[in-house]
Amino acid sequence: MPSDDASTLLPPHRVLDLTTVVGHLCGKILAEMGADVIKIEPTGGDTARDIGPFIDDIPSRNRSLQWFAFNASKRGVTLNLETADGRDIFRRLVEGADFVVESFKPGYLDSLGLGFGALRAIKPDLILTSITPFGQTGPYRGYEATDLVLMAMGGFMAENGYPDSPPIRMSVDQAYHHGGFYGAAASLTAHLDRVRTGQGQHVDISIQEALTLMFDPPIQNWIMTGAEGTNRVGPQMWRGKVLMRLVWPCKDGYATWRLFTGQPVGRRTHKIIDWAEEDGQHTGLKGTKWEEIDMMSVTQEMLDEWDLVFGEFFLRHTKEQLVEGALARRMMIYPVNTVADALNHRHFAAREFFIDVDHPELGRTFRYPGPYWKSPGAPWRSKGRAPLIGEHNVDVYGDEMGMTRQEMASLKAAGVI
Amino acid sequence: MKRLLDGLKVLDFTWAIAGPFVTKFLADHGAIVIKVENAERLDMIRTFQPFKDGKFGINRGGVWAAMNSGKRSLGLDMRRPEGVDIARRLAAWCDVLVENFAPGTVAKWGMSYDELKEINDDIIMVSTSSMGQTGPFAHYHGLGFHLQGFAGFNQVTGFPDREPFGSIPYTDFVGGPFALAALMGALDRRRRTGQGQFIDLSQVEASLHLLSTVLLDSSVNGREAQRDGNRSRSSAPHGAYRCLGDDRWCVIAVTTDAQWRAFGGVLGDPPWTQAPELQTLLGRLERVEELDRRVEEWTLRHAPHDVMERMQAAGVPAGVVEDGKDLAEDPQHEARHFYQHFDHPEIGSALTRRSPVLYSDADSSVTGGAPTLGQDTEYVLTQVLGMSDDEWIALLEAGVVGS
Repeated sequence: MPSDDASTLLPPHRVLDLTTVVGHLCGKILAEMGADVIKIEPTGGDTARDIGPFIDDIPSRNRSLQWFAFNASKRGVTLNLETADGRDIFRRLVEGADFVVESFKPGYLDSLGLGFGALRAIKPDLILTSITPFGQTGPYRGYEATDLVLMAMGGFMAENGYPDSPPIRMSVDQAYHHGGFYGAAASLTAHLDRVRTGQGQHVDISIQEALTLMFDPPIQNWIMTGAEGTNRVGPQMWRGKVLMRLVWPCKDGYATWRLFTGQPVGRRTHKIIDWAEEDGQHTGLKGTKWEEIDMMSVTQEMLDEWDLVFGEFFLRHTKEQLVEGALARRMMIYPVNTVADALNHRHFAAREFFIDVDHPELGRTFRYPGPYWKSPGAPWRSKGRAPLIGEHNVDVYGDEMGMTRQEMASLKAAGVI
Repeated sequence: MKRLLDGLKVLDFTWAIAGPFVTKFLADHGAIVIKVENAERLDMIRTFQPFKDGKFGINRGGVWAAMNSGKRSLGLDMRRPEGVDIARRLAAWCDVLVENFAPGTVAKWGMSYDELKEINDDIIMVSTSSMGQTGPFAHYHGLGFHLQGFAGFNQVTGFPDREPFGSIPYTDFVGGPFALAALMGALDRRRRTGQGQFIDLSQVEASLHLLSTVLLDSSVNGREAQRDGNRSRSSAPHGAYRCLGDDRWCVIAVTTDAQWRAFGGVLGDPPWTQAPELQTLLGRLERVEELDRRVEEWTLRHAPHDVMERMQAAGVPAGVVEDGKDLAEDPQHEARHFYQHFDHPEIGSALTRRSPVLYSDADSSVTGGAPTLGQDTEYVLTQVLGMSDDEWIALLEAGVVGS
């Protein structure tokens, strides 16, 4: 149980992590705060290991970047919960655990005799955190979900798309992680109460609910004005009666900027006109009094005409030139970074955000996102890359639980570990 | 039923989204949250549409009411030395201070973590800003759409031959809950060690963790992630399909061969779904555009909820593209009491929602409506700080406190 170690936010709380890809992030967050997270995989490995991309594009269960990305800093064992021996070993692990995190379909652990009631009987103050698409209750609890389904049912897709395209999701899976970070926060919230009262909890996270939190505006628009339907406007936003552009093609990619008019923000717009003129662009807009223009009275024709000028300005500059100029002039122009841009950005370098993690099995190091918070004296800390299949079986089953090599060999032969 | 954070005292110097998301979760768990506000420097969310009856008012916004329910509002002018003095007294009282101003703002008030530690040695202070408190871009001012582009989300949203984009301030929504987890860790550490903690959380950096797979694909394989609409390299069909009705859509994701056969069954096994070359993933991926057309020919004849229910009954992942009305009326949300209405002096019945978690042995429902600006000024000054009536009324008359 808790040590007095002040050098990490969490002491080495024991977390048994049964999650699928739906819940991987939760345990990683806890591990990098200091918890001792043991990822328990089925024999043969977590199915997320089949998800690409793969290291060097070689599909293999020990080369999945999806796996490595969200299971770093955990230890890993294999255990077949569908065998009696496997369940017995799991129950023994629960005796010494502070948290169990899982993301199976609601009812699955119960069907194994490992539901909350059963686990609580073993460890009365256990915190069991279930991270599932729709939660443990309600008519959709058994629904099949993927990232696409959740981005639709959580409200994201209705707010994203081009006017002439279907609603779209992000092309990189996002939905499950919203369950992961709320799972970490809620598990620790329950823990803070447990240390005062001795009471455990079953923590029931709904990913659909977590996503819905981002969509107060369309919900309130329906409630207060009766407006319904999707909002597919591409790289633009509604302002008054017109669609205003937010993303601009530039010399080597894209940048973000928006027009401001009216009081008091309209004065910002002079800066971009002055800059364009200094660069020799004849804008024809030098005398325009942006602070006197009410956006509500702007027509699409007026905006389109201005956009020709702004559009030319952006096309004459690279992302780096735009950023340098914006910093010097205190303007809000940002680059649309590619993934490689972000990896190499000097701001993240100055904060030592990206870290190199050893992959000793390959004799290489790879660059991962690292400390996203700084807490003096108790920093975010990587505990190394995600485990290979069964990498810590001997540590956990042998050294910690005292199984003999012979017992472990028998369990291996029986398909338990 | 009890609440997990009963008794936790929170001083809330947040505005916009990322910070208020942290304090809303704390309020839903029973913490007393005192939000410091001022009419001259309004929380921008108070000016967000829609408003009750379409009439602008800083207490009439629906989005503000949803995001700030259960908090108390202290009207305080931080430009006045007396205002700063009151804030410092509250900082001495609280367990946790959360702020998400531009870096340097609280230091200007003499309320940096090091200064507050002098008056409250185990205070936990969470500063969450878009880029973090340090680094060359720490003071680079940006809005939500700038920041998600900077983090890389825009680059992977859209179609490969069209502009990248993103329409919600995504990094705010991600940074908030990551900050919450770190805050809970800091509270656990304080319990063990008696020590306070300063946490500097960068919303953009937290959000970058949600792009970990493509960051690794770039650093390991040198591959640049691209936006690809709704397509998947491991599923087909996989998209949003137009349904019966005006602007109605349902997504369908066929992730296995068995689901493909079940999908065909829902359609009545028409000949095209039986084609041998479509029985394999690679075969379906090869003809994905034709598949999308065929699927939509069928969905166009059915309402979106009908498509979803029939597909789900057959075990095929599918879901309605829920707009505001669908979310507000979602039967799953209703069954889990996700929304609550509260009487509000200017809105009437205001709709709000709880945090996305239920507990077996604790209450996480919303504790109350959103405050009008300065609504709890008297309560905070007299009950929390123990001022006499004369004292706080003098401050009110001097314009230091109030709305």
